[in-house]
Amino acid sequence: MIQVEDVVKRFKDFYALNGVSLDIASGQYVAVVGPSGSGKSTLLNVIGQIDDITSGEIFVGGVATSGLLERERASLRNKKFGYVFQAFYLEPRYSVYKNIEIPLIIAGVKGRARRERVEYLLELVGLTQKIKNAAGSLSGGEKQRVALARALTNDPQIILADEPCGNLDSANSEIVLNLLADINKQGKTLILVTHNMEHANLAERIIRLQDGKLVEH
Amino acid sequence: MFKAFYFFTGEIKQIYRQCILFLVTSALVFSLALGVFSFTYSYRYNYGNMLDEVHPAGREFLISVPSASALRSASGVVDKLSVFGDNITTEMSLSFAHTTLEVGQGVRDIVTNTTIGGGIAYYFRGTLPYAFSNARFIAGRSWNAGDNVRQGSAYSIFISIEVANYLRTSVGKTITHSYNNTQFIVRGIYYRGAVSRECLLGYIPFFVMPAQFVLNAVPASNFDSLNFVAEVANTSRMVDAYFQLARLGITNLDSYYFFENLRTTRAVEILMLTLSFLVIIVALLILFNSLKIVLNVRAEFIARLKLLGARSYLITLIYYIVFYAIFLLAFGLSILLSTLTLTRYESVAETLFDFPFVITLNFPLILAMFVASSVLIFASYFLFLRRIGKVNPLDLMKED
Repeated sequence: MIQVEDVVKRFKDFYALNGVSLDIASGQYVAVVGPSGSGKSTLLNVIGQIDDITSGEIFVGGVATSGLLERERASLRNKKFGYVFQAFYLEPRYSVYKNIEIPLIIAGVKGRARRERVEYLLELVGLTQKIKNAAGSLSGGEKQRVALARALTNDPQIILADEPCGNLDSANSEIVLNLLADINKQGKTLILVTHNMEHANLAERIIRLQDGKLVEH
Repeated sequence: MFKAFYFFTGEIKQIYRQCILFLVTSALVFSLALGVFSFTYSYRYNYGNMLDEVHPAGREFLISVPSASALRSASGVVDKLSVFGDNITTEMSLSFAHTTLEVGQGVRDIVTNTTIGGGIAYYFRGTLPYAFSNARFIAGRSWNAGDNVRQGSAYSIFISIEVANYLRTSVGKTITHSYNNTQFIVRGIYYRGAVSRECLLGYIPFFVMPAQFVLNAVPASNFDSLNFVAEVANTSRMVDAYFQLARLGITNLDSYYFFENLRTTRAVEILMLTLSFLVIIVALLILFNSLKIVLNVRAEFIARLKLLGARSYLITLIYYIVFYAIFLLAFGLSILLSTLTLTRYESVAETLFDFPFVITLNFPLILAMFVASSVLIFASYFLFLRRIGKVNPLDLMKED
């Protein structure tokens, strides 16, 4: 599903990623661990087409991504990937409904189909009753569940989660991790970046980074 | 693209206060700029320049604006309105008559000397039912008054009662006007009572000509009232003419002063035009600042949209269209406000500055302001909206 070939990501004189190569199969649940500054988030960002690479190549579904145009990357982000971040990155002044709906609008889904999809996803994450609430009014756990629902709107093949439980208590963390596991069981590839080894051990495979290099995969 | 407006309506709603500020500010400053500039420029242009263009030598002529009180006091019913002059003055004279004749004061006959002037008079007959609808239209003979008029710089004049009385008593006398030492003889102007009343419009130095014409066209007419108001093109002539008119008994020159004020000195005109331009510049600066507020692109909002797959150009285009639409609304509103302001002036100004007239004569100004503002909008794209293209999802992570 994902092939990372000798990827280098350099910021001036600092190498966030220094010759990283790995393969992630379709449907795999992978945890990326490592100390702070090891390049975990950078790896996730370059895979997820949020950031560029300095050299090397990343294949997503067999497609080389280094030569993609911006609109092609945007299309990948909209349809191929779903993102869950520690800071949620919801639009706080929009409703829960609208936050989840945005990727569908970008994808060109019609109004009625959008509504059906949003309602389905909210039921999946257990927040149907919050559909009209402003996203900013939700608790941390609820926000992350909304973010998870949003990540699933266009039924992406790959879910990228960067410290999804970083701002959550243990109870909400468990809820979110269980949801992620359920999503993975449906066949979606899940890449989880975490510094919490308990969370990492829930994955079927652990990738360890240190100083931008792969030390265990 | 249109479906994407969906989430932008939400964005607009979030910054509606800035949008309203932008809308109101731009409308007010546009109105102020238009109003000041139009008042300064249009008055001079509409009236003075127009006549100057028609009559290049007209800077030294006597032109006229009717005195409302003079016309009203002339008679309860005006049986005949005689208009002499070229096309422009004919139109103006009839316009003035329109503004001063009261309801019920109807005109029975309209006499004019030029074909085109007759056409204008005919038009006014149709459009001023309370004044001219019952008027018989008497077209003047094909007197090539145009050439004579231009050479002599003749213009329509309303003559006041005082002049009428004076002239009535001066029949057969020669009056010399100091303007160009023209002598004219008061002919055939006399009063026979209230049977027929007529307003005669004529040019002082060449009063004899319209008087002759009227007598030829309408034999044995009775001149009961002559309404006459004069306006002078420049100060020296003003003083000279004023004394001349005073000797003729004309003292109620209220409109005269009005237009004299319009005929400011060149320095004052330049000052007022400069002031107008400064107002416009300030207006544009305020508009620019308001636009900057409204276009305060929320980087994090754009970054989130891009994270979810929105494309740069689409976001940019929508922002651009939405705020340009707001600008157009403000611009249109300001034109309306400024026009309403201009039409507040009474009497002659009201006639001249009705809405279509304002738009027509101020169109170059309005167009110039629209173009300038559009340039501002386009410039704002390069200053502010380019940021949209530069915003990327990584910016979200940088804030963490």
